Order: sequence, then structure tokens, then C-alpha cells
Amino acid sequence: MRTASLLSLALLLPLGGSANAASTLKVFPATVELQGQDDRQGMIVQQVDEQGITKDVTAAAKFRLADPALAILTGQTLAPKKDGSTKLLVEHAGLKVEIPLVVKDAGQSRAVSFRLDVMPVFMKHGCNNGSCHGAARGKDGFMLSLFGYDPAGDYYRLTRAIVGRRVDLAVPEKSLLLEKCSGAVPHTGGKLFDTNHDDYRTIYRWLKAGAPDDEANTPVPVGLELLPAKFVFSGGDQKQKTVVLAKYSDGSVRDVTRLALYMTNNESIAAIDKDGVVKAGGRGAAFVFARFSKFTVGSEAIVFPANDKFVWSKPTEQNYIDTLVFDKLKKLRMVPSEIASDEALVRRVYLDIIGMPPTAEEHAAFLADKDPKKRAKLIDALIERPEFVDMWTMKWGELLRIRANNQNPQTGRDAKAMFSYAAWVKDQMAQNRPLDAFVADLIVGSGSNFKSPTSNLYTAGERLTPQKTAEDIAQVFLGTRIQCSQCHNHPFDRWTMDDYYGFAAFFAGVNLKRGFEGREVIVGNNNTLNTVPHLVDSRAMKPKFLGGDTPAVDGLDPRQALAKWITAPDNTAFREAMANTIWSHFFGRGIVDPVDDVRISNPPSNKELLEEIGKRLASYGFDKKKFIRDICNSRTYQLSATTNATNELDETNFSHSYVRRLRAEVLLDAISKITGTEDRFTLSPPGTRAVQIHTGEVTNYFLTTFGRAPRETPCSCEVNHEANLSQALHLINGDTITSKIAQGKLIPSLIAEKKSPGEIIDQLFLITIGRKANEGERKRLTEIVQREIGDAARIKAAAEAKLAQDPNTARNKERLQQLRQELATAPKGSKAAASAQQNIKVLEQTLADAMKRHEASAATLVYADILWGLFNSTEFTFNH
Amino acid sequence: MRFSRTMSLTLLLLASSVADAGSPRVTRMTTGGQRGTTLEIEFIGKHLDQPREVMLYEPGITVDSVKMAETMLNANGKAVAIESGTRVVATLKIAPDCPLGAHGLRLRTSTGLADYRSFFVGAFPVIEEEEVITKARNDKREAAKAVPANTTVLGRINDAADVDTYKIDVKKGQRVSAEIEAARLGVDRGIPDLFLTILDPDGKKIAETDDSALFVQDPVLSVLADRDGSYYVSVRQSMFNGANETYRLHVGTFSRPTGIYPSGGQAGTEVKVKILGDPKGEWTQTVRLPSAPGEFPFVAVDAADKVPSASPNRMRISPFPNVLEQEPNDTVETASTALTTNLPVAFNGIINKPGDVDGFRFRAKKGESFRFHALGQGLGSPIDTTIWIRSTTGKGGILARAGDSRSTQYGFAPAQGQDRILHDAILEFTAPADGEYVMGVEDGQGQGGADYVYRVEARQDENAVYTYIAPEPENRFQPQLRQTVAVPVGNKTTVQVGIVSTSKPISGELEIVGLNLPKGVTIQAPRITPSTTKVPVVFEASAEAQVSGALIDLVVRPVSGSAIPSGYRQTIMLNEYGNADYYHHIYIDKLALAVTEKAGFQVRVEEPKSALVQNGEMTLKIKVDRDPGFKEPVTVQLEWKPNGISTTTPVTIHENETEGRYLLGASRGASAGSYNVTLTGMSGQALQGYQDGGNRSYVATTPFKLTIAEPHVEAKIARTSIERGKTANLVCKLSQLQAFEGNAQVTLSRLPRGVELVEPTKQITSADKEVTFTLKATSEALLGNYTGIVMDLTVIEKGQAVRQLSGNGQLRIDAERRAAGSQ
Repeated sequence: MRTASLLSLALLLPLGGSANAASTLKVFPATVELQGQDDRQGMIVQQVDEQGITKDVTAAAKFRLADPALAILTGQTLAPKKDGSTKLLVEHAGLKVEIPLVVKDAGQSRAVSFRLDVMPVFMKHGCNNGSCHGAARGKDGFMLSLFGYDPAGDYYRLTRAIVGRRVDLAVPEKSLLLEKCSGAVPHTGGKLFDTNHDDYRTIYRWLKAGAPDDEANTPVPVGLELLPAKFVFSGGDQKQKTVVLAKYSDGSVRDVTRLALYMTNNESIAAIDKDGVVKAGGRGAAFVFARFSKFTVGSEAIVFPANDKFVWSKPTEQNYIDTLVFDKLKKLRMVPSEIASDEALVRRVYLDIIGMPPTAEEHAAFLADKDPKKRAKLIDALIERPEFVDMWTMKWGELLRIRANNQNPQTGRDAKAMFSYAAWVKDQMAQNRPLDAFVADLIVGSGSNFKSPTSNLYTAGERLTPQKTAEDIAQVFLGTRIQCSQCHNHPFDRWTMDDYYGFAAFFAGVNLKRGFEGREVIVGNNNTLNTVPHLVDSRAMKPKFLGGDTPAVDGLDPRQALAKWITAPDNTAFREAMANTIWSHFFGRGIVDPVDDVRISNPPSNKELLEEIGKRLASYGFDKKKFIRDICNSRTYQLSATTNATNELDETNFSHSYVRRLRAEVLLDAISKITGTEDRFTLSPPGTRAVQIHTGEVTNYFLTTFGRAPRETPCSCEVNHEANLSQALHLINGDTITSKIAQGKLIPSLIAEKKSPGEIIDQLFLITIGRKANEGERKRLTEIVQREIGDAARIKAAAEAKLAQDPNTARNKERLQQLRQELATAPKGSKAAASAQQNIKVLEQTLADAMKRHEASAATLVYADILWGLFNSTEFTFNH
Repeated sequence: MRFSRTMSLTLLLLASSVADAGSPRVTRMTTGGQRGTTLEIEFIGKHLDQPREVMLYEPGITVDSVKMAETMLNANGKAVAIESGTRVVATLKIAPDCPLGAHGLRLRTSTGLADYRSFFVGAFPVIEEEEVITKARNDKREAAKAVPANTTVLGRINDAADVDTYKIDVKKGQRVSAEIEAARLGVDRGIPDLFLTILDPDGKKIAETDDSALFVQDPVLSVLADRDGSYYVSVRQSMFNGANETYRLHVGTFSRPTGIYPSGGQAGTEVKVKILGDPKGEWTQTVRLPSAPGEFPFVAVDAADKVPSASPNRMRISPFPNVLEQEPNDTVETASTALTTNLPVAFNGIINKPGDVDGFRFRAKKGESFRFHALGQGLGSPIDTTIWIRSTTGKGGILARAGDSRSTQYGFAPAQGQDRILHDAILEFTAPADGEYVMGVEDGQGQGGADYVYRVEARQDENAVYTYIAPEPENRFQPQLRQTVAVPVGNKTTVQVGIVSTSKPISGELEIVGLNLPKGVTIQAPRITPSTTKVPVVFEASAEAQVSGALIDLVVRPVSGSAIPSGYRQTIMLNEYGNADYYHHIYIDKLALAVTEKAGFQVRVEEPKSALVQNGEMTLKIKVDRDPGFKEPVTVQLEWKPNGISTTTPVTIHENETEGRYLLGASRGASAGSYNVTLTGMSGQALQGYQDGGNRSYVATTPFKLTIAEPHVEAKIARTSIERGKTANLVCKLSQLQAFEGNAQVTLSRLPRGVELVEPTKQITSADKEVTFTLKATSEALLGNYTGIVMDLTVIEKGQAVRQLSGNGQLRIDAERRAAGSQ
């Protein structure tokens, strides 16, 4: 490993800024093969300077053919002339590149193909997207399959569904298909192109040829490439052309730059226009994408200011995480923040690892520790605490949807089963069961939901269909959302409908029956039922791993094979999804974010890092604790939240600690712990902390407001970390904090310990926001405390005001008056007089006690207000 | 507060002195007692005035006295007055040899029968938990209540977080056993689902459980003490929800078998039973079975200290012998040929490990039908049986397979909620050829274990027909309401009797017979045809009958030919959870009947002289005879209706009225024929929704004949149009279906607004082929096309008007045509 990282360092040095490598010239594509009369290939040229900065020099470069007899060069586009091999010579700024060129079948013209030529036009111009004819019911009476998932259906609908004007083979130019596109007749979608546009000519030629269907052996696209793979722009407004190549099943390669659709994941860093020209924006890294047929591919674009005075600060690297994060930062010319102080770090690790703020004693002990390895020691200690188990039980509870209600009246879930499910998850976490084994157990879950907890994986969905189950499992365990491909090939990812139904077939045999008693559900698998019908043609789809093989599972429970495949150490999707899920807990965002939405159009912010943590987690035997130790001990995790000029805008590359709002449960537990109060949640034993609530539907206003996951879907988005107004209002006006401060024994005990106002203020700061008050804060607050409680008369007045509001006191006073009257009227020495006297004495004492109590509480009020203020500070509600 | 309480008491006393009706209801009852003791038990509910008897369904308990409580002791031990009719105290004598376990009983008052309840007879002395919620809580080990070993504690979970902890002292090597009776006690709503934990002397948890295969939601635990000392048993809500659940906790050193093998035997024989699931290891006990087939409560008794188990294991007594499995019998080939048997027999075995399959060989002749009933969960075993049959030659593969059963196969009507007996497979098999076959037994979930005991009873398949009381709409949320017969002296009552046949539909004509009826009580029931699912059965108590009660049987017999297995079978549904999902089913085979005090009223109906024609209506004349002093309203309705008959809402005949009219309608599809029906009269106003809760007496009229006949005339109404302000003719073509005498009166009904008949009625005779009506449209007639105009015909038959509707006319209403040349 050590050699490997050294090696990669060496390779990356040029970007580190101290390099001396020369500038190079890159030409795309690197080889050209022209096949058939109509084939064309555009060329682009990119200059890479010694710092790795790229520049589009296509227009400036000189092109020359070694043998001009073989091809025609028009601008930067090559067209075939005669069969043979030669070279394209490209020259710029003294740099030369030779590109091999092969011309085949130069004399032959390929007939226009519906799938190869016509359908890409529909995609390029958006004809078959969801808001147009790709909608489930089409538009204006004409339907195309969404993003062309059903070519045969599209051919049928164009040429056979309605006999008449849609396609007029006698007078092709009068076909509605062309007239609508060119704006000759009104078209809701507007005019798409002129009659002299290439795409118009493509369709026209197809119609002219009699609108033929393709032959059975028509090649299909098998791959796509977007070139160049990387752009490094120095300064905004730089541009870079791209070229898109499609590979076909017959081995041919075609320039589809003109036909591809383009997208970006960050318009402000790298925009891309409809011709595929990338334009640089502000500092950062982004991805641009090209889509053609069912493929989407991306290239990375890095942008930094033109005259950036970047100096690498050479921070120490604690482990591989730092190496890979810093490598990326160097590329982006960002300097990471300084390492966080002990004071900041101790609060951060407590909240992240065990979901609790440190106590004043724990805080002090850590600061006082002189051991240079004290951070690692603390992390080790915290990981072994029982609260760590609770944190991860909660996380998995969310992912697995441990929730008594699945909104499914037929096979409802019951709270009783959730006890055993949650207890099982907790036990797994407590044992630090390897994640692969844990997941494998879940996937093959069968039997009673009471006795065999893992079977509850199959009782969670509101629709208990193989499709829904497949979607959930792909999302949670593979980090992939395949939902779209139920009805059409995924528009922004690689998943096709075949993939979808193949994956759903793993759950075709899962069935549920009522158990011993009504709340019990028994999950079984009918091994003879291992296929699901494809939506388009009802083909019986057999179990097929997502992006993998078709296992032999006839007559077996295919979930066994699936569990093995998903949790295999070499399944990158699983190991990276697991590693990234853990990562995101500690950084507030994933390397791919959201963590359950891995797709080509949502690339990782640091691919190398994601790959490496996946590998590491697998190599640790999916030992979660070991991997968490790596994270927490990395310098990256321990960076300060304070930014510098280069990383202040960074939100994705982990160049500083991201300020994150505490999750609802942690926040409530923190408030309860600090105030020394206890919450009571339904369906939980007394003493349960919010983090330990085992089921999703527990209603608690505070937790709901602060975004506790209702566990209705397996989506990572269910936990809401956003700060919003109702949260702020609840903290200010709601009863949670106020009543907890009032109920809690914290302030009375601090006062009872006879601490000075300064000490009390420090203590309050320490237990809430993890630091002592600074000079200014202490001075101001001490003044306020002195003003409020230093003056006995003022306290008395406040207590009297309180007393006046107390109905008991009012009643007692009234009674006292009454008794005094009775005493006055009663004969002296009588029994009545004695009794009145006795009662008066008791009542007077009661009133005096009440006054004393109110005086004491008036004294605590000011500290309660300070604590209230601290709870309301962002420094408290956020982890930083 | 004090003032208003006295007030309400006075009011109640006044009210109860005026009328007694017939809906006693017991909502809570003392849960159980120790055998060999005499104890007072309490029934709490409403309308319990004049208690007369506690009816017992099983032997072993006798009742010394039953009386209404006028006072109760409050928390301070002072006697305070209580509402009349809310509490009854009975003294029970439980015989020393009384069978352990649940005993069904019912309280009878002079006006009716209360709900079926279970009373649990235990072997151990009973003590109370005595937790004081605010002061002395036994939540923690430190505050545990010490109890002697082998005791039954009556406890209560006071709030969702309550934990009740008990301490027992045992010696090393003794068992620490605990069993809860809570869900089994049965409540109307909710499931008392409790959780059991055992801690060792150091407070370390050594065992815990939520449920048991034996008793579903009621847990049992039994572990061995590894040292002398105090062990702790704690009870809590399994989900920390709900409150005020009462339970009986048996705690001690008894053996608590989780299974017995075999779980049945031949009547009158001696069986050596293996005790399974005892932490001390497997042991055997010999038991002599009674001579009558049925269910037998087997109690394991530790040979060393003679301590019996807290409650019995269920055992079957069959008329045929046992066959015990001989492993290996996992395949057709390994199934022991030495055990090849003729049926009927009971096969017994244990699926002792996950994936185990047991095979048994038997002979059968072509065409013989057998019924294989795999008893597993129904006897408290964890096994979810699946059985199959194949030929020993392997020919034809698996010939039949069954995993679950239906309640009708047991002779019970389908009930709400699922009982675990339905997980026991019932397979009906007809041998395709003479030969040898193998029956295989598996666990449907692929599980297995030492106590996965099963018993497959294979006997000749024969059809059986059972009766039950079909639920009335008002007992949707109170399933026990009106599932008994309460017939007032000198009156009648009607019960809706449902019919269930176990396998095939019944054939031939059958009659319903009541057995063990008290003196003076007779029943009248219509004959049953093969399509019958429910019939009204009228019970009558003569004026001389005594107020009394009996557990009777209601059997179905062929009118001619030999008897078929039959009887009354009712499912008592308890522990409702969620929406009409019942978690506790008790199956009873005796119908409780009470002859009650006079109802104070009788209902009569004038038998219709003419037929109710399809598409027609008929009015019944009802008369209420009131005894002097009976002033309540009476509500009358037709409960059992022939198909296609509709009625108006029940008719209430008020305090100062004696007569009412009740309208019946017949659809065109109503089945023509003659039916014996009765009207039910109920004291009080119409029901107040499903949770009525009123105190009511039900009586019936004498059964009368209701004939449904074809209509007299069928009309075809010609389509026509009319202009506003004008007249038009509408022609009805008549087809005469059933001749009538003299003239009938016809008119048109459901005419649109603004359209009137010029002549309101016309007369037709049986010979007329058409009738023409003249319509007039006013200027207010709404324009457009109308459908739904019907011809309304009234025939006077035997002095009674018979009304009938026919046809479906269409009328277009046009605007006034402007006069020519007015433009």
C-alpha cells in the first residue's frame, strides 16, 4: 500500500505546483476509423500546460493528412474518400501529434436506419422526453416511448398506428412528422429545425426510402465515450469543445457529437451547450455529461481563477484518507483549513460518535491530557461506548424502515414485530457484526416477523411487490435508485428496463401469510416462482444481478445467490455504498451525495477516495468500527470549520469541517442530558433516549420539527438536517427548552454548590457549546447576573410578582383573612379561637415558604435565561 | 359531588323498578382460583339485576350461591353503595380433582344470559400482587415482592411502564418456572400481551420471552437454578403500551412442558407420554385416557415432589389407535414398512430439526375418501404443518398437498381474525387406486425442534353439518350479543341459525332439532334445502314454563335416512385488536338457553292474505299487546328475509300505541315461493348504532307465511314526448302474467316535475292489453329527457290491496313551439 501511495504521489506532483514537466498536446479521438460514405468524424485538440491546465486549441491547431487522397478534411471534420490507412498530422505551438486514420467502405452508402439515425433525432430534440411525446399518454395524440426504451413500439406508432398523414410515403415532405418538426404546420413543441437541417434530411431520407424497419441484425449501441475526459480551466470564460463517440455491437465507432444530449451537474462551474461546448465558470470541480441512446457518460471539469496565487500548505497526512482528499484539493488549488482545536474536536467527536455532548468533566479531562495520542485514545474509547451502538442502530433503523406501520392494510406491520427487528439490529451493532454478513442475513430473511427478525425486510413496503422490494434493496444496499427504469430506461444512468425486471425477479417468489396470531406475518419464498414479466412485452425476466450475471437459481430461493453477490467483497457498488453511508455520517455529506443516489450523472466528488474507502472497508472484513477509526483519526475529519480564501466556497471536497445541524434525536438528547431531564416516548421503556427510539412513527413535536426520519421510505433524504423557521420558533417559544430548564436540577445544583456567577457561566458554556465563555461574554453576562440577583430588593419584587400570579397563594391569603376575622369574632380562649390561631400559624408559614421558594427561583431565573440563550445559539444546535 | 351521586343512584333505582329487560352483560370477572377451594367470585357489568345461576360448560366446579352485590369495599376497606345491577357475587366450589385450565361459564339472570367467560382453575395457592402505584412499586429487583414457590399471583400492570417483579427462593438444580395467563383470560378489546423475564440472584438476566407456542401471547419460561438463592421473575407489557392489564402469574419450581409426545391416544388406553422442553431433560409419565373421544387436559406432575404443571398441555383422545414414527423416515423409501397401516389411525411424530420430513405408509382402496388432519399449532406445538400424499411407487408424483385449513372444515363458521388452528393442515384425499401410499409431514416454514410435535388423524372422510348463531348487524362490535337464546315465559323468540357443512354441500331435506330443551320450550324451524345458509328458528316458552336455563344442542338431521354428524358450534371471539380482528377464539358446542321472566309485551302480525308480488310492495299490520304496567316503546322488524326482500327501517310503536304498519318490498329477482318468517319485537326505541348497549328484551311473532309471487301484469311503457302547455298520450302495453279478479287500479308514478295525469287513475281488468294515460305538461315542466316513469298497479286480492310497480318509461319534454308566422 505504501508503495502504491508513493507512486501516486509521484504522478501527481506536476499538479502540486513545483513541477517542471513540459506542456503537451492531446488530440481527440486518438484514432479514427471512417466507415461508409456518410461517416464523418470531428477532431478536437487540447493543450495541457506544465501545470496540467488544459486549453482548447482546436481552432488554432494545424491539421494535415499524410495522404490527402484517402479523406477530405473540412475544417476539423474528416470525411472518407478512398479505402486505406494514413495519418492525420496535428500541430500547434511547436507540438506535434499523429493520429492513425483508417477508411473503410468509402464507396458504400449505408441506408438510413430507424434505430441508428431517426431515433437519435427524437432524443436530441426532446421529442421523446417526458413532457412531450414521451409522456405516458403521449402528446396531442402521438406517443413515443420515453427516451426511446421501446424502438419497436415507436416504429409501430409512427408507421402503423394511424394510417394517414403522420407518415406519407407518397409525398414524404408532406408527412406530419416532418411538417410538425419544421414548423410548416402548427406544433405545440414549436419549430425544431429547418428543412435544410441535417436531422430534417435524415428523416426525409428515411421516409423517402419507404420508412423501412431495421433488419434484425442492426447493430445496437454498446458504449459511449465523451472526450476529452478532463478539463482544467484556468480562469472563467474558457471554452472547450467535446467529441462524443458511440460504439456499436458490430465493433464500429461513430461520431455522435451532433446527436448527443448534454448536461452538467453544476452550471456555475462548468456549463455545456447543446453542441457540447463546455464553458468554465467559478472555482471548483464539476461534471459534464453526454447522453446518447441508453448511455450517459461524464467528464470532469476543474476551474480555478486565472491568476491564482496558490501555495500548498503541506499539512501532515494521518492516513490514506488525507492523501486522497489532499490530492484532490491540490488539483482544485484549494488549501485545507487548519486542524481543529482540542476544544472544538472533543465536542465534535462526542456528538458524532456517541450522539452526546461531553460532560464538563469529560471535556476537562481531555483538555488536560498531555498524551500526544489523546485524540486517537478518545476516539477508541468512544467507539466502545454503548451509545455508539445506539447511533448505528438508529441509522440502520432508518435505512431498514423499522416502523410499525407500512400503510399496507393487507399485510400490515405491527409494533410487536418491530421490537424484535430493532433488538436484532441493535444486537448486530453491539457485536460489531461485519456489514456484509449483516446485510446477507437480511436479504435472505424468512419466517415469522416475530421470531425471525430479518424477515421484516420484506414487510416494510407499502406495496409488497417484487419491483418495490428490488427498488428498496438497490437503494439501501447498492446506493442506486432504479425506480425510473421500471417504466423506461433510466435517463441519467445505465439502468435499462431489462436490468430492472431482472433484479426484481429475485423477489418474485417472496410471499407473506398471516401467522400464529393476526399481528404475525410469515415470510416465505416460493422457489418455483422466479420470474417477473417485463412491462413492455411481458417477457418472463429471470433473476439477474444489477449490472452483473444471471445466476442459476431454478427451483432455489434466488435471494441466497443475491445475498452472496451483493455482499461480495469485490462488489464495488455495495462496499462503496456502505463506506459512503458511514462517511456521510461524519462529514454531513457523502462523497457521492445523496449516498443512495449513485449514478453516472451524480458522480463522486472524489472518485479515488470513494474507491479507496470501499476497498478498505472490504479489506477490513466490513468491520465498521475499524473504518470509523480511520475516518475519525484522519486530519480531514479533524480539520477546523474555519475556512481560508481558497476553500471558503467548498462544499464537496472536504477541505474544511462542514457545519452541520445536530440531528433531531441528538439535539433532544443533548438538551435532556444537559438539563438532567428525562423524555418519555410511547412504546419505549422509561429512560429511553431519543436516539434509542426503535420505531419510526413515534410522534414527538420536537423530533418532528427537527426532522426525525418518519422511516416511510428507505431514502437517506428522510433525515432532515435543514434548519428552518419552525425549528427556531420552537426553540424560542416552544415548551421543550423552557420546561426542561424549569424541571431540570442543573441550575439549582450549581447554585447550591455556591459557585460564583463567573464559574456558573463558564460551566453553562462548557456543557452546552463545549467551550468556556470568552472574556467579553463573561464580562457582560456577569454584569447581568449581578444586576439581576445582586440586589435583594429586586429579587423580592420579582418573587412577589410571581407569588401574586399563584392561585394557591391567593386562596391562602383569602383564607388567612377569613381566619383572622374568625379569630377576631370568636370568644377569647374558646375552642374556635384556638383552632383559628393554629390555622393562621400554619397558613402564615405556608405563605412564607412560598415566598422563599419564589425568591430562590428568581435567583435561578437569570441563569435559566443564560442557558436558554445558549440552547438557542447556532453554536449549540450545530456540530462544527 | 356527593349530592349528584346520591341523585343518580335514586334515579337508577327508580328506573330499575319500572322495567327489566334482557341484555345482561359481564365485562369483567374474577379470573380464576385454586382447585380444592371454595371462593367468592365477582361478575362486573351492567343489567345484572336478579342473578339466578352460573352456567358451567365443563365439570369440576359447583356453585353454592349467586347474589347481587349492593355494596363494594373501597380502597380504605369501607363498604360503599354501588349502582344496582353492576356486580354479582357467586360462591364457587372447585373440586380437588377439577381439571386444570380454562372453564367456560356464563351468568344467567331472570331476564337473560350474559357473555361467555373463561375462569381459570389452577393448582397453586393464589396471592395478590398488592402494588400501590404511587408508593410501593415492585418495579425493581430491590423492591421485588417475595412469593413462595409454586404460587399463583394475581397481578396488574398499572401503566405502560409498570414492571412487576417477584422473588422466589430456590435451591441449586431446581427449576425456576413461570407462566402467565393474561391474553387467555379474554377481554373485549385489546390484547393483554405481556413479557416475562427471569433474573438470577445477581440480577443478571438469564431468560426472557414474549410469546409461547403453547399459549400464543402468553409467555412461559423454565430454567434451572445454578445455585441456591433468590431468583426474580418480572412481568411487563411487551410493548410498553396499554395499562390496567390483569394477569395470573404461576411461579415456582414446577415442570412446564413446551410439548408432550405423543399428543394424543386411543380412548380408554394407557399412554406413555414424553415430557418435552423441561430444563431438567426429557422424562415420561403414564396417563390413562378417558373413554370418550375429545380433548384431554394433560398435566405433567414431577415425580419427585408431586408438583403439577401450572396448566395442562392439550391432548387428543381418538377412537382409533396411534402410530408413532420411526426415524429415519425422511423419504418414501425410508418410511418404515413395518408401520404400514390401514386407516383410521393417528400418526404421531416430531419434526426434530429444520428441514426434517417424516413419512408414514398406509393402505387404501380405490375410491376410499380419507381426511388427514394434521394437529400441530392447534395443540400448542410450534409446528406449521404441511402434509402431502404420494403413492409408494412414486407414480403420479405428489397426489395431494395441504398447508392450512379452513374453519368450515372444523364445522365452524368463518370468524373474524385468524386462529392458529387454521395453520393445521387438513387434507381430503380419495385414493386413485388400490395400493400403498405415503403421507409426508413437514414444517411449512422449514423449521424444526425437539418440541415440534404433530399428530395426523387419518379417518374416513364424512360430511357433517353444524349449526351456529349467525351474527346480527348489531353485534358487529360486540360479537357475543344475541348469541344465546332468551325466551320469555309465554312468548317466542327468533334466532338466526347459520348452517355450515364441513366438506361438501348438503343434499336432501334436513331438519333442525333442539336437544336438552327445558320443559315447556319448543322450537319451530323451517326445513333446510341444499342452498340454505341461514334460517330463522323460533323458540317458544309456554305460559307454564319455569324461569330456567340449559345448555342445549341444536342438531341437523336428514328428514329421511341415517343421521349425520351434527351439533351446535359457535366461535367466541375475544381480544379485538385493530379493526374487527379478534385474537382469541374459543370454540363451544353448547347453546345457552334461558327461559326468562315475562317480557311484558307480545307482538302479533296479521298474516297477509295475498302474495307479495315481485316488483311489488305489501304492508304488514302489527299489533303489540302490552301487559299492564309495560309502557316502553316496542320496535319491530323483519330480521331474516328471503332473498330480494327489502324492508323499511324498523317500526317503533310508542308507549301509547298498539298498532303499527311495516312495509315490505320485493325486487323483480326475489325468489318466488312460500316462506315461514317471523317479526322480531324489541323493547325500546330503534338501536342506537353498533354500540347500543341498551337493556332490551326480544320476542317474536308466531311464524307466518309470506308468499312471493310473479307480478300480475308487466307493462311496457312506450316512449313518448310532450310539449309544455300541451297534453300527450302515454300508452302502456300490458302482458298479463297472473289473473286477478275484477278491476285493478292503475296510475303512473315517478313522473317528472310539471307533468301531471289528466285523470289520476284508471281501471283495468285481467283481459286488457293496454292502457292509455293522458299527460299534461305545465309551463314549469323542465325540458329534457326523463326516464324511470313506472306504472303503479293496485289489485284488491282477498280484501287486501296488493301494489306492484312495472315498466320503465321515457318521456321527452319539449319547449313550446312558437306559433307559425310569429317571427
